[in-house]
Amino acid sequence: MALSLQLATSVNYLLFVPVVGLLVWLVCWRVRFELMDNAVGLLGLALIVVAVAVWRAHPDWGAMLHSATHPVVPTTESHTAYWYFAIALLGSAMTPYEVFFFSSGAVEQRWTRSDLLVNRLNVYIGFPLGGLLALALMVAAALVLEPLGIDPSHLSQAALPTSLVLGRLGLALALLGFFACTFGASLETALSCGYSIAQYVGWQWGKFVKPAQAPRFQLAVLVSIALGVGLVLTTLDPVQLTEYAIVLSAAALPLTYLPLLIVANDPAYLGGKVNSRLSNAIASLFLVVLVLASVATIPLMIASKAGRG
Amino acid sequence: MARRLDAALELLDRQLVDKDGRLAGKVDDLELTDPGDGLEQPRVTAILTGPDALAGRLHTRFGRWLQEVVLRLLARQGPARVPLEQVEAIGSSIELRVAAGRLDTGQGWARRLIGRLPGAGEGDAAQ
Repeated sequence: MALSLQLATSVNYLLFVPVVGLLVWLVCWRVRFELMDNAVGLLGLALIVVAVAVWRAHPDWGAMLHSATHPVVPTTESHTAYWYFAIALLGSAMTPYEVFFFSSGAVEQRWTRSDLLVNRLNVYIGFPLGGLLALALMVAAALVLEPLGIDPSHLSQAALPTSLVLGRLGLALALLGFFACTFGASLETALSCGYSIAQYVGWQWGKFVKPAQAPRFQLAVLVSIALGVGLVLTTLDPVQLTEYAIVLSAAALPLTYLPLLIVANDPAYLGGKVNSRLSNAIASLFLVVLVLASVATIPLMIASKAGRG
Repeated sequence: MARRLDAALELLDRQLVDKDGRLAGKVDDLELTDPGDGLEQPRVTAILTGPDALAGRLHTRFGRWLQEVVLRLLARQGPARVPLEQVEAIGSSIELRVAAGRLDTGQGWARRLIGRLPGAGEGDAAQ
């Protein structure tokens, strides 16, 4: 997020880091969950501009579809690096902390059986939309940056295709989208730290009670933000750090996925809403994929020198 | 009222909810009492909660040391104890008939710290 601000103002991102940390904490501390969730989500929709940029760039759709369905490992890249990045993509789409955030959010917003429909819509429309936007970012990079020989390693390069195709307004919207997404992710991770620690030991948690009534939860959130700010201030490359984080979270995925799958079959928790056989079959298949990815992560990371080899 | 339960599966590590619906820690350990007649099996007579109870479950020298440290830090004699008669219901969480405030599990210091920040809402009506 500090990187988005740097792109907008040209001031070094490190100066923004403490400010952004404070902002994240203030929102965690005071803003109602529902407002926080909706505002960040709606602002994030600004990223649709990237999909528009792809469409306006008039790509050769047929050729794109062909290369997407006939993947080849580029000659400039080793097989291990290719699969390493495949796992990184999996990790970026599915991170364990999302589970804590989503399920805790359900309690924060007091969902009931009647909210199931909204949830289904969320899963069938919201998730694919997110996926589509992620895909648009990648396609935009492949369309614009690859021919120029740019290997994107910085957030500014992710915004470059949109600004080249759509000009200044496109760039502004893309930056707004980046800002909302990274801000949302910071809120999610900070709150998830609080949720997972508090729920593990049974402390009162949540934004649905006053902070004074869930003091240790609030303390956990505050400490996690402070640690995050401290880590970034060490001037470690934040993009590199994110890459390692998502790869390692892909490795840890089965550890949250399997217990969830078991609970999804437990009538003591779900009553009549336990998984159907079809869901279980699909879920088990996916479990196999996740376990394979998880087992392969560390060896691939070493073999490909974290994608550099 | 006697009831048969798999104590390790259906009691240990479950969430405690107090009589006002507040989350009050976990079932960190259980107190078992042996009727002493050699015929009946030991019964669960109380739920123990708090970091000291959890440390005691490690059953190693390290666990005993940890328990000692936690007891000193919390300045108390032993883990918070809830007699089974004070349990309202046993489900995916354990509902109690007592208030969470009575089971001080070491929340006081965090409350004093967080309560000092503006907007902690010790008394106000906002969220």
